[in-house]
Amino acid sequence: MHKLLAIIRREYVESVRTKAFIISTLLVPVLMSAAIFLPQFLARTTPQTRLRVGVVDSTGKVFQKLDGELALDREKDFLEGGERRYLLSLATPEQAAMLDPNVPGPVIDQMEVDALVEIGEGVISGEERPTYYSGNVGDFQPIKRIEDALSAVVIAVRLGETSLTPDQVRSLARQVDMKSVKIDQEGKASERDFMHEYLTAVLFTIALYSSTLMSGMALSRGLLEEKANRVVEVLISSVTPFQLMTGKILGQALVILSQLGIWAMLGFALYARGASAGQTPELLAGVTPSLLAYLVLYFLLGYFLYAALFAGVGAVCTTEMEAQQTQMPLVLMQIFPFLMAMAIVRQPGSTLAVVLSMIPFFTPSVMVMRLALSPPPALQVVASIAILVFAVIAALWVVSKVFRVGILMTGKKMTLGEMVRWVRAA
Amino acid sequence: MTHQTGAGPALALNDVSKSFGDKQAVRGLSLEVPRGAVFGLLGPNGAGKSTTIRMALNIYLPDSGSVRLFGAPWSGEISNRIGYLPEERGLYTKMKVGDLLIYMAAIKGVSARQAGPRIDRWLEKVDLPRCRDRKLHELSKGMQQKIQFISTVLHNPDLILLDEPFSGLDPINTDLLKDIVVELKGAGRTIIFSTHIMEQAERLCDQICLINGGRKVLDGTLASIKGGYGRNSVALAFEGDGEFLKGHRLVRSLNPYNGFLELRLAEGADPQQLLSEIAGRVRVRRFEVLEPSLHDIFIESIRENEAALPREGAPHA
Repeated sequence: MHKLLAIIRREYVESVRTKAFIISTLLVPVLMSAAIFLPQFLARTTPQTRLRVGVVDSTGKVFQKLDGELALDREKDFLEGGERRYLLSLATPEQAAMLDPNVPGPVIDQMEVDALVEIGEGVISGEERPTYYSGNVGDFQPIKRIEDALSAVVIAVRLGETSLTPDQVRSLARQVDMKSVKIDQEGKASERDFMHEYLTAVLFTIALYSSTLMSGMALSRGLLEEKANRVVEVLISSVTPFQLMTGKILGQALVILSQLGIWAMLGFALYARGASAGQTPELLAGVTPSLLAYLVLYFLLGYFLYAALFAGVGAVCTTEMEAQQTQMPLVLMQIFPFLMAMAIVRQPGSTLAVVLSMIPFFTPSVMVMRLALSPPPALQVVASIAILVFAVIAALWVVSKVFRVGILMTGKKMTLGEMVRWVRAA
Repeated sequence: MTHQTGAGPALALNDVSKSFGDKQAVRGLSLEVPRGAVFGLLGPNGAGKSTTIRMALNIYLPDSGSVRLFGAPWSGEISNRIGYLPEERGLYTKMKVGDLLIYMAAIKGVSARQAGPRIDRWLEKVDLPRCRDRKLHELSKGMQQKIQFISTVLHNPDLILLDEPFSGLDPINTDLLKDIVVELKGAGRTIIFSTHIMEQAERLCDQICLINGGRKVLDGTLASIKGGYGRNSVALAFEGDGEFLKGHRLVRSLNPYNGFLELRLAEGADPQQLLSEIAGRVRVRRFEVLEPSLHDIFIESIRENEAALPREGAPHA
């Protein structure tokens, strides 16, 4: 028992001291908050640049109104200095005649504008779509704003024959904006939408993935080191292979628990700060104690499954290169649930989601996503845990058989046939 | 720690064999190492020395035959009484010397509290004081070897197995290590070491076992082996044509050295008779009856063994 503790201790202390641990512990939360908050932040701040927009108006009814419309919104239509953001200029008949939809460049150059809006005659009747030409169509804000303004104008023109005022037209043409409300297990409501659900689900999966991958790779790298420097011979003549494997896996388990602990504290600090500032981070709003308990359970089981396999990789490979190739399937299996995340978030109870959550390699991430979204039936939770526990025991059993022979092999790669033979023989 | 539980020799191998794929590394080897002995496991490269040592340590399981340590089969308790220095040296180079040694002691069942003072004593002894807090990769290769040696003996093992312990050491550290081996023997420990350098074995060993091609060629105490070969070597220097010595009925083999010939006498030959016959043919400048060196015994045994192997039983020309 003392020997096992010594192995756990060394594995933990030496891993926690590495740069890789410190960097990943600090970097993952930074990257994750950047991934979550930066787009929102950037989307909110609009660049202080003016946009010159040329307009080819074949209807002859739109340009004036569009110009007026793009001076209505105080925030969207004006720069900080009070100047107008959108400078509209109407194309001359010659310029309009010059416009070739396939090669609009010359007209834009001649008009000295940044973008060109072509409004065909059929736009009013709805038979034709207006077109926005620009070197940059990735900046969605001006496009959206011009589209909105143009919609309002075109609707006003269509209704122009009636005696409605433009204000009346605007209020009549306004779209509804539906909000989505999530009902939790206790029947309480919270306002959430797809983005919230998706991020919450993916957040936990990323944490699971990055920790498991980090410690899995540390496991196999550590074993490779011990094989290369032959410390393994001394280890095997001092402790049993099972003690060595278990000690290493448990040591790395403590490493990731420490990492999660740090992340949880950071998350809690962020939450508390947000709460005191009056704005509860919506991402964390769905996290309940029972969800956290499940999270830790699935997390540990998933970790043990992958850790056993990574330890197996370290035991049977002899070079870092070989190990990386052999690890590839394990890494891909961990990435796979991310690719499925969209589908799972949209329909957490679908057959796809249920089937995936019963395949042990995907169970932890998929079940954590489903639990975060809408609670799956208890039977499925129990079944998935049972399957996962069975898989963990099976993996540990197989790997411990291969482990003893594998860690003493150097120089020669083990074939699949040999591995099967060992498992059978032992 | 030197509780001598159980009867029986420190190490007993009984008819052990081990093969890797098609290659038979050790074939039907039996040997016994009494407690308190310094035992040399000798043999040319690839003879099966390391495989034998690894089987003794439960690193390899023999395909057949049995291994007993202190009269008992391998167990966790036995493993704590054994120290092992592998042939290919290596340690966790990123660890600090002190942490590493404490870990190596811990996996042998020694607590950090017990190990602490011993580490200081040993570091002092091998002339590396004040390096507990240094990382291993900051030390020279020779220093790392000494640290590894400490890790082998830190838990006061009763049986110490050293696989080629002197390879890569400079003369000063070789002597230091030899002194420590002698000291450990004085403290009642059993030491087994493998080497292909006979001079070291000759200086340190009470007993040897010579193996070649995975088989035992000869074993016993150094004195009995040398006695068995008898004083049947002669150093000879002369003037004249010595051609007649080749194939002489009293001479089994001859090795030219710088300035003299070493003659191995045939079975039962009398050196005195040889001298009188030689004296009649050439002018003798030196004639000395020698005790055979372990080196010569080694070379000769291996040669005979290898000559005999391909065609078993055929008379050797």
